[in-house]
Amino acid sequence: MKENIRKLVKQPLLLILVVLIMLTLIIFIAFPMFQIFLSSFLSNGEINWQGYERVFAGGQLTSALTNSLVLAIIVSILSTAIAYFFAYTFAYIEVPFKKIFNGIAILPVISPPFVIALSAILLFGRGGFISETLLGIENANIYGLHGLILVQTLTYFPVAFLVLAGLLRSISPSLEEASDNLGSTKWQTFKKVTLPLSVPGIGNAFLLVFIQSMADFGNPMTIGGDYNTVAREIYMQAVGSYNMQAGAALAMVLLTVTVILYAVQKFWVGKKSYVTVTGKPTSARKMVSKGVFRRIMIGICYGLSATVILFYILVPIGSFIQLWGVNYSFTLDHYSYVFSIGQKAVVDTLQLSIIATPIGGLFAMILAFLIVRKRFAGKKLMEGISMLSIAIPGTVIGISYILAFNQAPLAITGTALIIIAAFIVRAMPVGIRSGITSLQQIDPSIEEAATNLGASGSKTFFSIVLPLIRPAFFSSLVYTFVKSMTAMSAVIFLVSARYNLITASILAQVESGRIGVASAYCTLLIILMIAAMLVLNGLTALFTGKWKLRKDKQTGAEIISKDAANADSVNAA
Amino acid sequence: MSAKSVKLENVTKQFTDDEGKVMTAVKEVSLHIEKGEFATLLGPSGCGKTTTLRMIAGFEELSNGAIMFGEDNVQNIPANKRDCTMVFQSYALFPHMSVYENICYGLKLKKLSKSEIEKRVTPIMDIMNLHVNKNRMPNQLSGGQQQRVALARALVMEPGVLLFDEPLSNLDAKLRITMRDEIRRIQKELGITAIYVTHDQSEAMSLSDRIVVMNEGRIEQVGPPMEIYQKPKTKFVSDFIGTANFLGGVVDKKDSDRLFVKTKQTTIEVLQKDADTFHEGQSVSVVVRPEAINLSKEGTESAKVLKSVFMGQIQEYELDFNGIQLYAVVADPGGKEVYYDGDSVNLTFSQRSLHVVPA
Repeated sequence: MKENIRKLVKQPLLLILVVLIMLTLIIFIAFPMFQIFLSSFLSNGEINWQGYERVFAGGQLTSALTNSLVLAIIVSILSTAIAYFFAYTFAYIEVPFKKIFNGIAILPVISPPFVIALSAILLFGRGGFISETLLGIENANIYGLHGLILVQTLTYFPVAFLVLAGLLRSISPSLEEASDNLGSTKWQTFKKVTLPLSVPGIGNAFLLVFIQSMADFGNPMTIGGDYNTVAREIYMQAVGSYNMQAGAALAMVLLTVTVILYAVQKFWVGKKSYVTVTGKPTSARKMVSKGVFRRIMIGICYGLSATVILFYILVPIGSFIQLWGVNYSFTLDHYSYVFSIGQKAVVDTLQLSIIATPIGGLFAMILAFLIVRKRFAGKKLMEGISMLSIAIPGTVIGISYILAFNQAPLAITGTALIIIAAFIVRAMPVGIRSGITSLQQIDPSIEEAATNLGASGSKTFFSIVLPLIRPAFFSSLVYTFVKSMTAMSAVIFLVSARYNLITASILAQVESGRIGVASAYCTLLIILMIAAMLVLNGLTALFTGKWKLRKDKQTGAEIISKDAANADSVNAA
Repeated sequence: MSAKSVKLENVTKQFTDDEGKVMTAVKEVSLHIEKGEFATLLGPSGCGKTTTLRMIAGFEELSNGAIMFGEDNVQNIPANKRDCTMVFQSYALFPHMSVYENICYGLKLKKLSKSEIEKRVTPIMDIMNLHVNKNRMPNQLSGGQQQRVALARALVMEPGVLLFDEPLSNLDAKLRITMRDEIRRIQKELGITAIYVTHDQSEAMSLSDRIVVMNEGRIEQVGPPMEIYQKPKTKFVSDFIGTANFLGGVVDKKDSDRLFVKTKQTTIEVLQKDADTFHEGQSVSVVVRPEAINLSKEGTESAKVLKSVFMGQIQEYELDFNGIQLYAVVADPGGKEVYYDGDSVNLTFSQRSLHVVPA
């Protein structure tokens, strides 16, 4: 410790960096969390248990909690099952156009939070295309638990797929060959070898989906109907009835659940893994290339993929239609609304996101660098806080920011700063994660070699470290941009007349039943996201063409999706 | 190139782990390496050899003691300003730079002109045979070529001291021998002071002017390879370098250059130059190298063959010598009598090859 402090004093630049980053983490993560904790025990200046009593007494808050748990369990089971099916097909069966699966897997990362919910309304809602136009059901009701199960499963199974596909690919084919060789049938091999080996991955995927479903805000707001959930209730308590104590208590409960699940996932399931997940197949697996089994698997996967794609393209289609369910004529009205009255939200969102992007990207890289390479006093705390941020649901960030930044000395509610901070904190974990992964792949003696040949600390950073982690830096930049543009759960608490955001506008449109305008907003967001991804791919190709850090050539999009899955972030917006 | 001597005085390094426990990696190491000398730090993993090298390079701070390059204490000279370059175990080539860019990296930092850089790089690339690969990226090179680039990058700086951190451990056996000879040749040719870390004794033997054997953070013995092998000072050194049998006993009598060691089996006479460092009654071990054991059908000592294995160049024996198991080798078995499992043989020691160490 003493030695570490001495080291810090000897390197003033490092000292300044450490202090700055530590302050930022404390102000924007630790302090708000402490404020929630405090507020959950406070009403009108008195310390009491009323908040928690309300959460567990059996009223509205209790039902929100049990509802969320029930929903999360159902969605996790369904998503993991579907994902395993997909992943197995992906890893074991020869499928034409396999890349489609990868594409589908990144959709939930880059798309705005309620695209699928919107589509579900367009298809199955009152006046929905399938429910009314095709089946003739009037007043069909998609709102509620069944709607949420449908929408969340379609949204989150790709996350589980990424985890499971990585795991299945890393199972050494020789294990299965050994089993075959010892006389097992294909089914026995699957039951006795493949399935047991994939249990840790299944646990992992299950928990990740569980956390995301618990923390989800966008879908319950859009399609939840009477089925109240935790994230939504926190918002209602804080913004609707301004009962901060109840809101804070519920947020504490949600935070506790996600932190515990995250810890279980990280320290228990993670440790049980029998295979090292390198993402690289050990030796080529002989793929199933013919037979009825193959055809059935391919058929089901194509069918599901088509459904997911349908859900995503329905929204752009809906954005050009006059009044869904009533008048299917072509119109540009919704867009003219978006670009006139709604323009402020678009400009604000873009502006704030563009400001947050470089700050967030750089912040994540520096933090990753400090954690991986430097030894200094307080490093454990820094690591701890940035780890914690992975497990904090957006809604919890939202309510904690209102609580923390409403009064002096940090009265920044209503300013751009608070929204930018929320953007960065929400996107940061993925950036840090990808920075850490990429730095860990770099032999520290490369930096020592530079020092040994006469390079100073900053020269080493700029001539060696930065060029080597460029891919991670770019992916962190784009992830920050994407997450900021589509952020909702945290910033919905923070929008004001001065700064409005696209996602908040979409929510308002959905609530007032103007699905067309909401669809136009969503479409615009999707286009912006795709543009951002293309720019990333271009940049990555431009700067990493000469040499490759990762063995297999990956596009920026693949890096992002992998990092997002690796980071296990609660990115339910 | 101006080679420098390196002096370590009472160098100690302590690490504190996360739980606050203090671990001493290097304990009061003192060592003087001459200008132009090739010295090897040899020892098992965790013996402190790499930490010592890293302190010389400036990557680790000393907890105590001093390191001098020539007459200068380098305590306050940061790693990037020290007159030494290092060849890393992993080569540590910059993956985003070509071979040529890698080699000039340090010279560019010195702000040398382009023509000057060219003038210094060309002869090094000649020596290392690197011209063909000038514009390749490191990942397009074989292990041996990468090794050459790493060496060239260090040599081109014309350092006062050249450091090697197990540079050959990632090469296959054949290439290791080629590179080993090449390193020695270049070092002699250029007259550089070299400090080399390895756990491989054959590497240490073939490269070094002197070997520094380390164990548990301390120096066990410093000396030329032959002395280290033939006259080990401690049981650890005799066991770590080569193979050794030990016969435990006590000093029965001593002369100025002879020791009589009474073992359970017999009293052995050993020629020992430093006999006066022992005292009568001291418990000691007699180091018996496998090749110092002679087997025959005549003589006084009797032993039994437990196992006999033909290895081509040598015949290996496991022997029972009055209850002690000995390992012996006989070179060129083709021309000699070979004994088999269960044979009783007479066993003698080549007196000149025996050596006594404190028990």
